[in-house]
Amino acid sequence: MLLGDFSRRLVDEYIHWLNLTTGELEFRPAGSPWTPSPSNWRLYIRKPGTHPHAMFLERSQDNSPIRAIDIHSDTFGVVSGLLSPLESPAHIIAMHAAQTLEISLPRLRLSFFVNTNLELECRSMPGYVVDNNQSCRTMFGLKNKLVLCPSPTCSEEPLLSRLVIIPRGDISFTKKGHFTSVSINTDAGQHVRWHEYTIDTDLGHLTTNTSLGSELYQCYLHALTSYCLPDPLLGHTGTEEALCILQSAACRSFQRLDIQEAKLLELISNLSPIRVYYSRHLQSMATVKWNDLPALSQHHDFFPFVCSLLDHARALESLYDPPTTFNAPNRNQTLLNRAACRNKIYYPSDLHTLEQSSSQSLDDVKYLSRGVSDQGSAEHVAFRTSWSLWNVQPSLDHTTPKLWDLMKPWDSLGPAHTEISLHYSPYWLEFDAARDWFVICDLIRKSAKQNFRNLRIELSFSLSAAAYSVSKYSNAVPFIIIFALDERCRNLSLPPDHFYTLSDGVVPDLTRVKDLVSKSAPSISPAPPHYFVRDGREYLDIESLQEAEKIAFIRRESSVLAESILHHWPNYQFVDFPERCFNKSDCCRRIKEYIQSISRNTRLRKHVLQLEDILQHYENVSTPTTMPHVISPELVINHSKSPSYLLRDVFMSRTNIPTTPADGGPFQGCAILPTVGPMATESGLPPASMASLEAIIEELRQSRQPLLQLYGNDLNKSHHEQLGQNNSQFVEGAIPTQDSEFLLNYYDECSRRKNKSFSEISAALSPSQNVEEVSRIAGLWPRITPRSILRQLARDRISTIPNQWKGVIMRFAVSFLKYQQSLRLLKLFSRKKHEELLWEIEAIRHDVLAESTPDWLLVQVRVLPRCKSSCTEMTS
Amino acid sequence: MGEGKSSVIVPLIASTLANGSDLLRVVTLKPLSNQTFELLVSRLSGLANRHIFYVPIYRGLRMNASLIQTIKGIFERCVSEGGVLVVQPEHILSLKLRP
Repeated sequence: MLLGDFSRRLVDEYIHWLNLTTGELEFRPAGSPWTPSPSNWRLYIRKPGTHPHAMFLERSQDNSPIRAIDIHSDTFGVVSGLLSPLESPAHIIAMHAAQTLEISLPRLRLSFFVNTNLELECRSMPGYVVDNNQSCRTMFGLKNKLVLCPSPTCSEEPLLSRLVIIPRGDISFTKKGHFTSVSINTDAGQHVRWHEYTIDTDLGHLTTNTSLGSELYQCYLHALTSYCLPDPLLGHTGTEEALCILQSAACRSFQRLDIQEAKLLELISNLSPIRVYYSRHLQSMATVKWNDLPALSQHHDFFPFVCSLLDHARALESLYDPPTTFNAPNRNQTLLNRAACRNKIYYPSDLHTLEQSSSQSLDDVKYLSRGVSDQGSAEHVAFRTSWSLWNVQPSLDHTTPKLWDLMKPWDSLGPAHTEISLHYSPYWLEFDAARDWFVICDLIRKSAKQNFRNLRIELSFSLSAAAYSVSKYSNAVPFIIIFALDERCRNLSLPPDHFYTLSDGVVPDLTRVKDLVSKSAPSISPAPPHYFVRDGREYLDIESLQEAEKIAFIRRESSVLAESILHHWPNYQFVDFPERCFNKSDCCRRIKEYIQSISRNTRLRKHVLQLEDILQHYENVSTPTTMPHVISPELVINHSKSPSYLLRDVFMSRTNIPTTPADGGPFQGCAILPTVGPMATESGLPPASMASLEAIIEELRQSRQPLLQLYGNDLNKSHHEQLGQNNSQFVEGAIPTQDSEFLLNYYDECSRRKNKSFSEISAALSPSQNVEEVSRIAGLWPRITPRSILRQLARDRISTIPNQWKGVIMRFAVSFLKYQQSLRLLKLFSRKKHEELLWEIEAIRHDVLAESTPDWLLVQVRVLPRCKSSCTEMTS
Repeated sequence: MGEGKSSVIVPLIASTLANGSDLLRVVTLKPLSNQTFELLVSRLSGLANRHIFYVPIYRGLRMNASLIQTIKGIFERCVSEGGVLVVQPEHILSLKLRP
C-alpha cells in the first residue's frame, strides 16, 4: 500500500505501526520493530483515509521537525531528475529540515542539499555542487554518471578539478548509430558502491587514487564508450585509453587480484571478438562473433593484454595457500594473430606492442587479384576499361564492327531510362546501351564540362562494370570511352529525336511497305478453315475457299500498291488506292510514320557517320601487363614503403626542434615573492627577555639535580617549539593579502609557459606532408598529448628518443611542474597555510631541471595538484 | 614523521636505483607493507611506469621446482623492467631458510 508513495527504503527496511486512535503511522527500523521512538519517521494523517492531508515527519537530534517531500511533488521531480544518473527516484529521499532542502541517496551513502545559490551541493564532498554541464569530455554515451564541480562560492573554485561519480553495477551497452549507449544497472544491490574520478584537464585524463578495481572499471567504460574520433579530454580514443590503462604499470602492480577485478578483466577481454574456425577440420573460414559495439571499439589486443595480466596474477597466486584460480577462455591463437595483423592498420602504430610489430609472417592464404588475370577474361576487360579511362588512352580494336553496324541489330534506340547517373551502381552491370545511349552521351557531355577528371574517375568504375557484365551491349563500351575522352565527339550536336526504330532502316523497303499496306486491309476472319472429308480425302468447305481467295487477292493488291508507292516515293498521296481493298487513311498514316522513322534514322546515321570519321583514327592500344597483386596480411606488415608513424620515429624525423627554453628567464612573480630568510632570525620576544630565558634554561640544564636537569631540558624543548610557533605567527603576518596578486601573476606566467612549450612541441611533431596529414585525419598519426610527450621520459622509452628532444621534453616537464607548483601556492594561500606556502615559495627557487632525473620529474608530475607537494616535502 | 621519508625519499631512491640491472627491494615492516606498496604504486606506476612487485614468501610455503621457477621469473622481470620489489624482513629470512 505504501509502495509508490514512499522511498523504497522506507517501505522495505521499516516496520509500519498504525495507531488507529491518533491516525499516526510510525516507521520503525526493521532492527527494532518493537521499540517506539520519537525520532522515528511518522506519518500524521489528519483525516484518516484522506491522503492529501498527510504529513510525514521525523524528529532530528535537536528535536526540530524534518518533513519529507512528497515523491509526487514537482520539487522532488526536479531534484530526482538531477540525480537520476546515480539513483532511481524510488530510492531517493528528499527532506525539508531547518529551511534547507536535503536529499539523501541512502544506497550510495551520499547526501546533497540545496545551498544558498540554489545549487545542489554534496554533503559528502564539501564545496562540490552538481554541475550544470554534465559532460566530462570523455565517456560519451555513458548514462549513469554525475559530474560535480567546485561551487562558485568556494574560494578555491578555479583551482579545483571537477569530479565525476560513476556507480558500480551491471553494465549493459548497445550501439546507437555511430555511438554506444552504456547503462549501469544498480537495482539489485541494497548498497551501491561508486567510483570517484577527478577530471584532470592538464594531463587530459580521469584519475583515481583508490584501487585496481577502480582503474579497471574506468578502463572498461572507456573501451565501451570509444568513438572513432579522439575524445576531447583524452586527446585519443577511448579504446586507446583503455589499452594504455591495461598496459600501464599501475594496472599490473597488485598484490592479489580479487574476484571483482577478475570479473572486470573478463568483461574487458570479451571486447575482443571471439574468432573460431567455421569448419574446425578445414580451417579455411572463420566466424567472428561481434559485440554490439562499433567495430573499432572491439580491439584485438584486449584479450592478450588481459591474459598477460591474469598470467601475472596466477604466478603471484602460486605463493598463497590456497591459491585463487583465474580461468581465461581459450581462444585460437592463430586467428587472434591473424586478426591483429589485419586490423592493426586501423589504429595508431604506438598502440602495438613491440612483439607484434616484429611478428613473423603468418601462414595465411594469399589471394591473387582478379584485375589482370587471363587476357580476354571479363576481369581483364574491366581492367582495360578502367586503365584506358584513367590514362586517357582509348583503344579500338579493328575487329570491332563500325558503330552503325553495331547499332543496327539493336532494332531501336531510346527512349531512355529517366534515372541514370554516371556514378557506379548496379545499373551498370545491366547496362542497356540501346535504350540509354543518348542519355549517357548527354550526361558525359555535361559532366566533362564541369570536371573532366571526376568524369574519368566515375566512368572508370561504371564503364568497367558495364564491360565486365558481358551483356549484349558491352561491345559498345569502347565507343562510349572514346566519346567521353575525345572532345571532338563531345562537341558534335546530338540528333534532336530520342527514339529511333532502327529496323526501319534509312531507305524504304518493299517488303516493309507491303507489310504496312496489308495491315490496312480489312480484317480477315481469324476463323480456321473448315474441312470436310469425302472419299477419304480432305476438302475445304466453300466459305474457307472464298476466304483463301480473298487473302490471295489482297496480297496481290498489296504488292501492286507497295510497288506503286515506292515508285512515287515519297509522294505516296498520288498513288491510286483501291478503296474496296484498303483503308486509305489508315494506310496513309502507317506510310507517313514509316517515312518519318526513315528520316529520323537518316539523321541519326549522319550523326553516327560523323562519329565514325573521328573513330577511324583510333587503334588498338595495348594495356600494360602487370603482375597480379597478391593480397596477404604479409603485405601490410612487411611493406617496405609503408611509412611508420611511431612517435619515436616522428621524433627521429623532425629536425625543427623547439629551441626556446620553456624555463628560460626568471619569472616576474618569483622575484617579488617574499623570502624565507627573515623568518629564521626574528622572534616574537624582545631580545632581552629572550636572553634571560635562555640563561635560566641553561642554568637548569647544567644543574646537578636530575629533576631540574630534566625540567631544564623539557623547558628548552618547549622554548624551541614556542619559537617555531612564533615563526608561524610571523609568517602569517609576513604574507600581506595583496600577495595573492603576485601568486596569480606567477600562476598565469607558469600556465602560459607550459602551454607555449607544449604548443611548440605539438607544432614540431604535427604532420608536415600531405601523406602525414591524411594519416592524421585517418587517426593513424601519433597522438600528441601532454601525457604522450611526458611519457617519453620514462625509463622504458627515454633511450629511443634523440638527445635534443630529450632536453625539450624535460624542459616541458619542468614547466609543467612549475605550473602545478603555482596552483599549489594559490591553494595554500587560500587555505591560509602560510608556513607551507613559504616552504613552497622557497622550493620555486630550486633549479628543478638540474636537480631531477627524468624519472623523478615524472613522479612529481604524476602527483595530483591537490596532494601535498612533493617538492615541499623534499625541501622540508 | 610526516616529513616525506616514505612518500618522497623512498620513491626517489627507488626510481634511481631500479636501473634494469639490479633487483631493488624496499624492505618494510609488515604493518606498513600495504601502505608502502600503495604509495609506491601511486608515485611510481603512473607516468614513470614502474612496476611494483610483492612476492610474499613464508615459512609454510612448499617449495618445488615450478614455484622456484615462478619466483625466479618474477624477480627477473622485476630487474629487467626496472621494477620495485616490496618485501618484509620475514620474506627475506624465509627465502634464505628454505631448504
